[in-house]
Amino acid sequence: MNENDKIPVLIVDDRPENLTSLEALLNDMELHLVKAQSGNDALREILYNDFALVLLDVQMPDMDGFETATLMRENPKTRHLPIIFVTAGMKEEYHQFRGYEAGAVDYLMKPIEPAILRSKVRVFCDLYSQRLELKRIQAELESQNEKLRSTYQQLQEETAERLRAVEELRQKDQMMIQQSRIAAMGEMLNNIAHQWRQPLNVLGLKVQEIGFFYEMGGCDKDLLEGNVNKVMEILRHLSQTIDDFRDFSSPDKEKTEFGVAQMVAKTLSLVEESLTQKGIQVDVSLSEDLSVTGYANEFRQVLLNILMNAKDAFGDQQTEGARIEVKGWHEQGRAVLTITDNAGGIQEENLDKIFDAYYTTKELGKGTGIGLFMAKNIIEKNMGGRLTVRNIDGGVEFRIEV
Amino acid sequence: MKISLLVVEDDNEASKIIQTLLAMKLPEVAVRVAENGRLGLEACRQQIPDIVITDLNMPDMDGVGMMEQIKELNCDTRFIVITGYSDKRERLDSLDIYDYFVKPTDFRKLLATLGSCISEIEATRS
Repeated sequence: MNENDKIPVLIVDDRPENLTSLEALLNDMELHLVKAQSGNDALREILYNDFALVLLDVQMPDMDGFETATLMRENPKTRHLPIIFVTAGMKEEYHQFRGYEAGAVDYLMKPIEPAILRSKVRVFCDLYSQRLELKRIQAELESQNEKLRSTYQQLQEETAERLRAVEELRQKDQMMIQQSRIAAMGEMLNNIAHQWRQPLNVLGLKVQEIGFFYEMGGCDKDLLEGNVNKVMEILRHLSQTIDDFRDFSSPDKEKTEFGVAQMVAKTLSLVEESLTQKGIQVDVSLSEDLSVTGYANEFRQVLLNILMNAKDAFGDQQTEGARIEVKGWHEQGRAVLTITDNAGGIQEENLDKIFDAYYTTKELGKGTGIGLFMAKNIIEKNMGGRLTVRNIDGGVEFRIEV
Repeated sequence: MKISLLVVEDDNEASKIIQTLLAMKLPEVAVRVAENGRLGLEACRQQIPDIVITDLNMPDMDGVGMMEQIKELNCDTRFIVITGYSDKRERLDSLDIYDYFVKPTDFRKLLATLGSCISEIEATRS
C-alpha cells in the first residue's frame, strides 16, 4: 500500500520511548503514523495535515494534553478531529471529565491493552475512511450536478436558439406569403388594367362622339340612344369585371361540383387581355360535361398561376406564333386537364424544383416562387389530385388530374 | 392628291368610332383601317400612306414591329401612336414618332395633331 493511501494517525507524546511503543502496537494496521513530541508540534501537524485520529498524551511539559485538545477544538478546521487521551497517571474521574470536556472521544489508561487500543483506533480509522469516501461521493455528486447544470444550461441555450430559428423562419415565411400576396395583387391589378384599357377608350370615344355629332348638327335621338346604350353596356361590363376579380380572391368555404370548362372560361376572361397584348393565342378544347368536385376559386387560382407562368415564359417581347393550349377530358373516372405552351420548355434540371417554395428563375421582384408551390398544394393536398409538369416538343405541359 | 391615312387598331369598336369621327371631321382624308400590325404592314406595302395612326399592343405583330418594317419601305410616313401603355415609350425613340397619345383617346387633341401634320405634308408637296 502506498504511504499516501494509508490512514494518517497522529501520535503525541513527549517521550520518544512512548511514541516507539505506540508505534509498535499499531505497526501492522496499515497506518501512516505521524509523531509529535509536544503540544505545539501536534498543533502544527494538524494545521497542515489531515488525520483520522490523534492519540494524545496528557502529561507533557509546557502544554499538556488537555490544553492542546482545547486549542484543537477552538480551531474550526480541527474541531471535529477525534482525540483519544492516553495517560499513565491521572486515573481520577475528575481528570477524565476534564479530558471529555476538552473534546476527547475516549480516555485510555496505561498500561494500554493492545487489543482495546487497536480496536478503538480501527473504529476511528473506519470512520475516517467512510468520511473520505463520503467526501469523494459528495465531490463526485457535485461535479455531476455541475455537469447536469451546464448540460441543462446548454440545452436551454440550444432550445432558445432553436426557438429563435423557428421564429425567424416563421417570420420569413410570413414575409414571403405577404410578398406573394402583394405580388398576386399586383398581377391582378395589372390584369384589371389590361381588361379595362380598351373599354375605357371606347367609353371615352362614345362620349366624345355625341359632342362631335352635336357640333355638326347630326346629334339625333338614334345616335344618343345608341351611344347611351353602348356606354351603359360597357359600364356593366367593367362592373362585372370588378366582381369577377373580387370573387376570384375570396376563399372557398366548401367543396362544390363545378364545370371545368366554365372555370377555364372565367379564368381566361380575367387574363385574356394581358395574353392578347403579348400576342399569345389561347386554344381551348374541353369536354363540356367535364366536372370536378373541390374548391372552385382555388382551382381557378391554380389555372391562373399556370397561365401566368406560361405567359411569363414567353418573355417580355411578343413571340411569333405564341400559343397556349388548354385541353380537358375524362380518363378512368378522373378529370384530366393539360395546359401547354410553346415557349421553349424548362431546363430538365430545373423541372424537379419548379414546385418548390421560393424557387423561381424570374428576375428579382418578378416572381416570388410561391405560385406553383401553392398550385401543387391546392391540387394535391386540398383536392386530392395530382399536378405534374413535363417538357414536350417546344414547350411545357402542366397536367392536372382530379 | 388626297392625304392618305391608315388606322391600325385591334379594338374593332374603337376603330369604328375613329373612322366615323375622321369621316366627319376630315372628309378630305382617305382613311383605311387594319386590325393588327401584320395587316397594317400589308396595307402599307400595297399603298404607302402619308400618316399611320397605330396602337402599340396588338396580337400578330405589335405596333413597334410594324413601324420598324414600314420604315424599311423607305417612305416618309408620319407615325402617330395611340396606346394604353406608356411603358414601351423607349422603344419608340429610334422611330421618330410624330406624336404620342395615351388612351383613353382625346379626339380633339388627335384632330389638332392631325391638322398640323396634314399642313406639314401639304407644305412639302407644294
